[in-house]
Amino acid sequence: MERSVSERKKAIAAEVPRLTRYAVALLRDRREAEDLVHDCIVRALANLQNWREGDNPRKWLFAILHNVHVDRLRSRARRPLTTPLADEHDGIGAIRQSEDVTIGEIDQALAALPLEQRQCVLLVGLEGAGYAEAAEILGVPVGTVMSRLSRGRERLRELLGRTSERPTTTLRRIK
Amino acid sequence: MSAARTIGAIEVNALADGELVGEAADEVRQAMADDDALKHLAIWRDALSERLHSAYDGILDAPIPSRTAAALRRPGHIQLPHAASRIAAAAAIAVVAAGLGYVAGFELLGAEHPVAGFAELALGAHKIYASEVLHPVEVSGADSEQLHKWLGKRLGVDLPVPDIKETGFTLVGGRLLAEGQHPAALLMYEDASGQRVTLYIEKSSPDGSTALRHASNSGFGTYYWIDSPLACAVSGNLADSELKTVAERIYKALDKG
Repeated sequence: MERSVSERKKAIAAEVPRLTRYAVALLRDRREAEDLVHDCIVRALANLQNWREGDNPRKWLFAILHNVHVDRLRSRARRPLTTPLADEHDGIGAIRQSEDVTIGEIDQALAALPLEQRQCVLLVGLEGAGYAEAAEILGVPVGTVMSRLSRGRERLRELLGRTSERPTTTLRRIK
Repeated sequence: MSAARTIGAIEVNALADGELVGEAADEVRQAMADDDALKHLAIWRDALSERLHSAYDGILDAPIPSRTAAALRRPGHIQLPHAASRIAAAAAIAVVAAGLGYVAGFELLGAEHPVAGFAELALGAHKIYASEVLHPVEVSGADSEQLHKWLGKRLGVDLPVPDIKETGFTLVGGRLLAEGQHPAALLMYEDASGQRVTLYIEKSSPDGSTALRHASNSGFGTYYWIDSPLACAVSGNLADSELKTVAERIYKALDKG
């Protein structure tokens, strides 16, 4: 028996906090992140029939989120850009524009990573995705996930690890 | 070191992430035992994970933003994303082109299209109200002009009350429904045997249009479509072909109106 639409919607709603956590860490701008998650949910709802019975809703939704993000970057790339694509959300300018950004040391370090490494570091290290799962979400081979993850972690270690190996609890609020 | 192959950061990460088992895992553990640099990679992997969680886990407690929550509450096929609306618009043009003279121009997308949110709402309303014996409607169909004005005003859209007598179904009347924050209308028709069909209507998004789709659930079927500004579903427990005839007749009547 097929799962009813309302059950599917409930399962989707339950993933919104995780999708938002990932998007905020990826984009480091709360408003951008919520926009991205919103578009992801709208797309998911329009494609409910593609969610096969037994499919893990989390993986399905993260893959949609990734695709929506890629589409957004593409559509922006068609417009004239003054900043490189990978730095789309990275500049201080983007952070200043948002009134509602809480940014810490780790945020700034993530900003220094290429998007592809950031995706892998966050999917595996924050969202707990397996390598195969991350590879499916991002549409790349597992080996690519492994090398991006490894390089991303190494770069973060250079930026953060030497100063302290302990988790930071201090967050600065930027107006 | 007995390393038959080089053990580096990738392998240590894989072990620390729980991706390695058995011999492969042992091999990496062995290499780590002899190499502090590798050991530190694993320690850093854990420390980083902890830092990521402490920086971002607070977001998990935030409520779902209201417009996203609203999108989740809305009937699924009303809010079409851009790409989908373009496809739908193309399909709608095909319907209009082919249907100028005759509604056989309907493009039927798959006999067993999965139940969309909108269809589910329509089927739910049908099941609840069509079985109502004493009060199936709020306003009787005897005065269809008043129904037209009242429901149209509440939905904020011109809402003709289709006359489908030629299919054997006559208007019983209508009622106003609440779908979340939004009004919806339900018109009910009945044939001589007391068999009922309902027409469920909501206001659609300005650019939304879809082909005719079918969904069914435990014996009840619905044919639904969006032809901006109306999203409509015709439901009943008739044979599919019979229900489709009624739906097409209603589509035609609304299209003229």
